[in-house]
Parts: sequence; C-alpha cells; structure tokens
Amino acid sequence: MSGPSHDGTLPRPAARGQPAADGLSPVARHHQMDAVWGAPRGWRALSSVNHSSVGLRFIGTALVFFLIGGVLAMLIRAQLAVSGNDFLDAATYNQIFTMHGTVMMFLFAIPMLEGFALYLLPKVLGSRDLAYPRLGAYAYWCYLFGGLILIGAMVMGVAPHQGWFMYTPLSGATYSPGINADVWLIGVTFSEISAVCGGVELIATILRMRSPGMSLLRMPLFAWYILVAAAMIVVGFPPLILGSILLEVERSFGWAFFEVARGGDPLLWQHLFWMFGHPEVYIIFLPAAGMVSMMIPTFAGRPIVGHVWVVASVLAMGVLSFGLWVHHMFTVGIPQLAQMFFSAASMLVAIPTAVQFFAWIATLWAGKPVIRLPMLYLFGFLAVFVCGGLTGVMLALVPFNWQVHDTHFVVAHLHYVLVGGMVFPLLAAVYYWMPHVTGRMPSETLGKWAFWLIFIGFNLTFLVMHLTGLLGMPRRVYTYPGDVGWDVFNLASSIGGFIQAIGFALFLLDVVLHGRMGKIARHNPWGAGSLEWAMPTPTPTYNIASLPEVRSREPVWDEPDLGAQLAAGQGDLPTAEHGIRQTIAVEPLSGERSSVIELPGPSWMPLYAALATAVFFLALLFKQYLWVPVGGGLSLAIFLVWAWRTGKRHDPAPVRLRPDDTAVLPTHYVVTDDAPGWWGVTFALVADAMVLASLLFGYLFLWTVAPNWPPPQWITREFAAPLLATAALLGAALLARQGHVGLHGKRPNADGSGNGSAIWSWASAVAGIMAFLALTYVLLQAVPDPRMHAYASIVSALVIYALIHIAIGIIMSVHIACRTHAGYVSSMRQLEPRILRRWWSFTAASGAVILAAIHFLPETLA
Amino acid sequence: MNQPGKPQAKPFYTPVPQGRVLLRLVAGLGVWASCFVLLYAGLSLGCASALAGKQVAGVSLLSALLTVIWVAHLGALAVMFWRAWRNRHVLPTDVQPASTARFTSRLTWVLHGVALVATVVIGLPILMLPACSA
Repeated sequence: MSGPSHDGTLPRPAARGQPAADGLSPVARHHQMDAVWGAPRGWRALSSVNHSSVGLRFIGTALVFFLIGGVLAMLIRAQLAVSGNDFLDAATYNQIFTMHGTVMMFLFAIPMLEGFALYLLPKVLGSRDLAYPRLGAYAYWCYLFGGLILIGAMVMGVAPHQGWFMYTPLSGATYSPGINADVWLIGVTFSEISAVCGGVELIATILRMRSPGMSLLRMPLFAWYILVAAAMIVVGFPPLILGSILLEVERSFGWAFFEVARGGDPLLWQHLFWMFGHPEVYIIFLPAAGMVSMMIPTFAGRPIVGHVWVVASVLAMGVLSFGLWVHHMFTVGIPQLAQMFFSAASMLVAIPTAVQFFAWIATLWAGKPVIRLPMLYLFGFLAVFVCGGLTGVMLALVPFNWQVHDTHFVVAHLHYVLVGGMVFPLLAAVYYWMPHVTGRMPSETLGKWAFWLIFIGFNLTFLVMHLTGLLGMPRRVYTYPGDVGWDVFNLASSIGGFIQAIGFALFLLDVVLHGRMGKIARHNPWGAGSLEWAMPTPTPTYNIASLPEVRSREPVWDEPDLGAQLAAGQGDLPTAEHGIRQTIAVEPLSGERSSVIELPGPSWMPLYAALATAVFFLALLFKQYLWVPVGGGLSLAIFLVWAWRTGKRHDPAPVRLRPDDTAVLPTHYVVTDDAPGWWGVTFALVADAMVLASLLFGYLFLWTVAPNWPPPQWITREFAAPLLATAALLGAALLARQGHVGLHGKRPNADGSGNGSAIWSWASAVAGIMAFLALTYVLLQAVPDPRMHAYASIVSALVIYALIHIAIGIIMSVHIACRTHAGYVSSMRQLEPRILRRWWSFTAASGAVILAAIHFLPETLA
Repeated sequence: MNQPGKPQAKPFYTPVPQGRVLLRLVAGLGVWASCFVLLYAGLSLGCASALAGKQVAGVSLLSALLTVIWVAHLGALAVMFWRAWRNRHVLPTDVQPASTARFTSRLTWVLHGVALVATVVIGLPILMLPACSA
C-alpha cells in the first residue's frame, strides 16, 4: 500500500470503469459486505446501530404514536359532534386535546421526519451510514422512553391537561398541583434530547459524508432541506428545553421564574415556548418539502427549475422563521411597533415559501409529468398547503389575529399547514420510497381510494372549521350550547374527521398488504435520477457496494447502469474483507475525498445509556431525588466507557481506496479539523450557546417587565471571587489550547508524542477545579435564596449553567489526559485535545458572560 | 476526471477553512437576524427605561436610535450585496471546483439581496408608528 508522498499529498484514485481487481462477483461482494454491515437478528437486533434500522425504528414508533394521536382526535370530534354532549367530561377532554397536540407534534411529526432523514440521507448522499450511528440509536431510545412516559401517564389517567403549550400560570404548581404537568415537562424534554442528537448527527453527516464529487452544487435538494431543518432543531429546541427545566424547577423546588408575585412573569414561558414553537412549524415543513423536491423532478422527468433560488429560499426560510414567534402572542399586550416587526417578518416568510411552490409548479410545467400514486398525494399537498399558507398570511395581520385568536379558525389554519405541509408529502414519500424497504410496489387502486378519502375528509373537517372559528367558537372547550349556530359546522367537521380516519386506515392496509402481495419493484421503478435509486431494492444494510464519483445532481439519469457498475465494485471502497465498516468523508464544499471514516458496529451502549437516563428522568418525575444522582452518575459512567472504547492507540495507516489502485486516504482518526466528531461538537456547542442565550433573554425580559428588578439589595459588589473564577477559566482555556498546539511540532509516530499534551490536560483540570470552587463560593455567598425572587432564581440558574460546564470540562480534561497516557493521542491523532480546547474556550467565554451579567449588568441596569 | 497517480492538490493535514465559506453564504441573513434582535431588544429595553419619553428636536429619541440601528444594518447589507453582485463573475478562490464556486457566488448575492429586502421590510414600521404605544 502506498502512503502519502513526502510533501503530504495523496495520489488520486483512477477513473471508474474497471471492475475491482479482487475478482468478486456482485453476489459474493454483497455477502462479504453484509457480513460486516448486517444487523444482528432476534433480540440482539436491539443493539443494531445501522442507520436503516434506527431510521425504521423511528418511523415505526412514530406511526404508532400517530395512530394514538389519531384515536384521540376522533374522541375530540365525537365529543364536539353535537352541542351539549356528555360523551366526555371536561377533565378527560382536557387531557385528550392536550395529549393529541403533544403526541402529534413531539412524538409523531418531528420523530417521523427525523426517522425519514436518518433512513434516507445516507442513501441519497451515497454514503453507507450516518456520522454517529450509536448516537442515533441513543436518540431513538430517549425518544421511545420519553414517549412511553407520556402515554403511560395517559393510560393511568394522569396525562397533562393544560394544552400542548403548557401556558403558565395554569401549568404552575398552584393551579396544577398533580403530576400531570410534570409528565409533560419531563417526557417532552426526554424526547427532545433525541431531536437535538438527531439534528447534530444530520448536520455532520450532510457536511462530511457524501459520495466523492458531491459538491454543494451537486448535493440533492433533500440534503439542503434537512441541513437547514437540522440546524433549526439545534438552534430552536434549546429555548423549550430550558423553559421546561425552569418550569419543572419552579414546580418542584419552589424557584420563581413565571410567578408575578415573586418577580417572575408568565409571558417568559410564552416567549421561550414560541421561540421553539414557531420555528418548529418550519422544522416540520422543510423535511417534507425536501421530499417533495426529490419526487417532483422524478415525475416531471427533468431537473428542478430554479435550483439556486430554491436553495436560497430554504436558507432564507431557516433564518426568517426565527423572527415570527411573537405572532402567537399578539394579544398579550406588547407595543404595537414590536408587533409590527413580527407581523412584517411573518408576511415576509411567505415569499421564500412561494418561490419553492413556483419552482415545483414550473418543474411540472416544463417537464412531462407522469401521474403516479405519489404524485396524487403531492397534488393534495400543493392544494392544502397553499390554503394553509394563505390563512397564515391572514393571521400575520395583527387586527385579524386579534379577532380570531384562540378560536377554531386557528385550529383549522394549523391543521392545513401541518397536515398539508407534512402529512400529504409524507404519505407520498411512503409510497415513493417503499420499494427501498420492501422491494415491492404499492397498489395504485387502494392508494387512490385512501387519497380521496383523506383529501375529502380533511377538507370537510377543517375547511368548515374556519367558519366555526369565524362564528366565534373558542378552542379547548369540551362542549357548547345548542343555540349559537355551531352545531351543523361541528357535525360536518366530525363526519369529515371520520372519513379521514377511514382513509388513513385504508392507507395503512395498503402499506401492510403491499409488503406481502405487492408486485416486485423493478430497478429504479419511478425512473428517478438521485443516487439512492442506484442501490438494489430492498436496500442492503451497507447501502452501496462501492461509492461512486458523482458528476451531477442526477447521477442515475447520467448513467442508468450506475447501480450495476457499483455492485460490480467499480467505485471506491469495494471490499469489506478487513471486517471494518468504512465509508468516505468528503470536504463540505467541494466534495473532494478527505478521509475514510471507520464506523462502529452493533452496541448495547446506547440502550444502556438511555435506560440510565430514564432512571434520571423518572426519579425527577416521581420526586425520588436520591435516585437522580444514581441515574445521572450511571449515564455519565456509560458515556465515559463509550467514549473510551473509540479511537486508536497507534497512528493508523492510510486506507487503499480500491484493491487495484495506489490511491489511499487517511482514516478519520488522523484528520482532526475535518473529522465528523469535530463538526458534531461544534454544533452541539451551538445548541448549548442557545440555552445560555435563552437564559440571558429571560434575565433581560424580566428586567423589562417586572417591577423593582433587579432588587437593589441583592446587587452584589463582591468582585474577588468572580474575578478569580474568570481568571481560572481563562487559564483552563489557555492550558487546553497549549495541550493541542503543543502537538503540532511533534514528529508523527514518535514514541510518546502525545504525552506532553497530557500534562496540559491535567493542568486544565486543576484550573477548572479552581474555577469551580470560586464559582461555588459565588453561588453560596453572593446569590440569595432562589426561592425568594425571580432575580435570585435566574442568577442561580446562570451560575449553575457555568458550574455544569466547568464540571464537564474537568471530567473531559481528566479523561483525555488518561487517554493520552494510554496512547490514544499523538501528533497525528489530535482530535480529542482539539475538542477539549474548544470546550474550555466555550466554557471560559460563557462563564465570563455569566459573571458579567451577574456582577456588572445589574449595577448598570439599576 | 481524476488522473491516475497525479498528486492530489490539497495536503490532507491542512484543512481548507470550509466553515468560513459556509458562514459567508449566510452572513447577510446573519445581519438581518442581528438587526431584528437589536430592534426588538432595543425597543423592549428602551420602553422599559428612561429613554421612553425623551424627545430630541421633536423626534422620539428611542425611535431615532432604532432608526440608526436599522440604517446601519441596511448600510452594511447594501455594501455586502453590492460587492457580491459586482463580483458575481469573479470566482472565489477558496471554493473548488469551479462549478461549485459559481454556485456559491450566485447563492451569496441572492441571499444578500434577500436579507437586504427583508431588512427594509422589518424596519419600515419604525417610521410609521410611535415606539412604545400599546
């Protein structure tokens, strides 16, 4: 095997066109690959971490939650069908509508789309797996356990009953003393860990793990949409995670964040909720629109029209949609000018949405559309979502918003947007990509019946509901009097709801039946151009026997026999005889080959870690606080073992790309800055920074609304401990930096080349301990009891945020120092010291901001 | 297509600053976000402070400050858009291959233009409404 030349450059691989020199037939190659990539069977299948297994787990579980949410919807419609109905009492109805919204938003929509993304992305990108297979598996178990907490509570009759947005003060301890609200806060937060883990994994995968040659220009639109949606998850979910933690702490420990009498404000919850809640609409819409952008060119038989404009629209939507959240709060009494900022942004975001619509319509117009079953559902999407978008523009207008606020008009609008924007494309996508899972084609007849029942039922339910709302029927009422003229509209909506339910049942029947009786799908059954259709159907566990060099956005249209070429091993990495799961990493922009990523196989660690995390959350839920450190400690221990088992104790040799070629690539262990782990940590810190930003937002928000804030008697003028903490944090950051920089000059493969770095890691841990002690002193001495006032609560929360980061930094420093001694770090394997350096830099910067907020800002504000 | 045996152009230990190029794409939208946050935060903090009722030459001081924030962001975006538009045929040297460089170059001016228009729209209400009226 030839290595890099003396100037550090690598020979490039030969052009595709020759079968691999190992002499394997496509069938033998399949068996060799499957032996390495195959998922375990039986109960051991739970240890599988392959993206197809994890993605299908997400999709299957989300489908079950969808059915549960659907049954709840039918109960709601049964109750509202006639006036004065006593089918359900008020308390049960409250639980049912709360759980319907919660299940559909948190347990169906987002996990279903993440499941699709986890399943499809590597296939669309021509990769063999996602960046962090075990993290994906952990995300699934967190989602499942979080969901089970919510469903278990509903079965036991203690489900949340405050509405899916849990407004305070209704959800506070005074008005909701039982466990119901805690179930929501803890169950949803547990599930959201899954969403954020998934978001980070998807970003790193899209940026780094594509087929060679797949530059940004050639990247499929689905990947662009998922990239933006995943970035929105990373930025948008932390405010709600923080809000949930604050509300739970207020409920359980008596702190004050949302209680007016103690300097808090309930509107803080609304802000934190909708900072997440509105972007979430786009987080749900964008992946679905990404699927639409893959399907429409296929059925139009031509590439998408206005590619660059579509990409620009998706990016613009991703940013602009963060400027809309207050349009959910137009009636709470904020200055008119502030309302206008949000009203303007709400109308603006319709423009990039419309650009995408025109691009889809133009693609159909310019092509030769073929009306196959998925296309029928796409027409349903186009019609329904446009109507939802138009009522969205109506709601963006402040005076109209005031009129219909909290009425069924809003319920109708949100269902038009979410069902139109997500469910119809999803149904189309299920039919479109089904051959990948089962290798069979759906039934056109049953699928068409299902479509028309769903389409007619949906419009009967929700088009009519606009009128019910305009007539003044409020949301969340369990019944209504018979003399106000709402009966006929509600009855129509209920009939429509049940027609829709029959349609969904037919759809499910079709999906189940086709898996057994559907026609065997021929190769590339829809005539698509994207890379996943170069794979065999059903897709093998390794996706693709060898990785192609991509030369356009529609590689299968360029080379219809690409699948056969790749199965014959004519691309990169055609062999798995070494028994290692390998795929290619590329540079984010150019798609140039960068390294070979070696991925982990089946592991029980994700399940164990999720179980330990479940102990932590359940102990919090049932207020068994002695078990909280047990669950937390166990989780930490498992994560440390998990982390310890990764990496190499020697500098690995470069990997040959093909048996018959001299071209080699380094493994990801020796490529530090571009390694997926580096991007993952960076985006995880973005999410982390959003938590801090949300906390600081709360601090400033309370200052603007609460009287006598901050209370003058608690403004501290003690500067010694904070300055010491800041200095120690700065020291830890500089020491960690030195530990990384010091590796640069070392000769590769020199014995003990990393040992010098260990000393710096130890030193950063010591500096971290000093910072921890100084900050603990600040918390105990300078911050009043957090149960007394919101100022004390939020300052305590800020200090605890810093303390948690310092504690994690100390553990990381010790861990990496030990790993350096054990030989996991060298001048070539620098990733871990580099990650440590970034962690301490972030911790020092955030610590300085927090201390400035506590010790300098109050004086300035006062 | 690749030439067999030809050395790869980029040494693999020296990373191309890919993150910087990606950030450059969305820098205009970042300026929009900065403008939005500063306008909303400035208005909220201003209305809660002594600035609320102050007038300078018959104009609300807070409205004037918000206008300054808006115009400063508009100015920055106008410069960014103009530079991106003027250089739309000059391919960035840190992006390969040329087709991707053309794509990122075009995407950059489109996004800067979108951000400019969006910033104009969200700031216009400052000229129409008093700052703190409920």
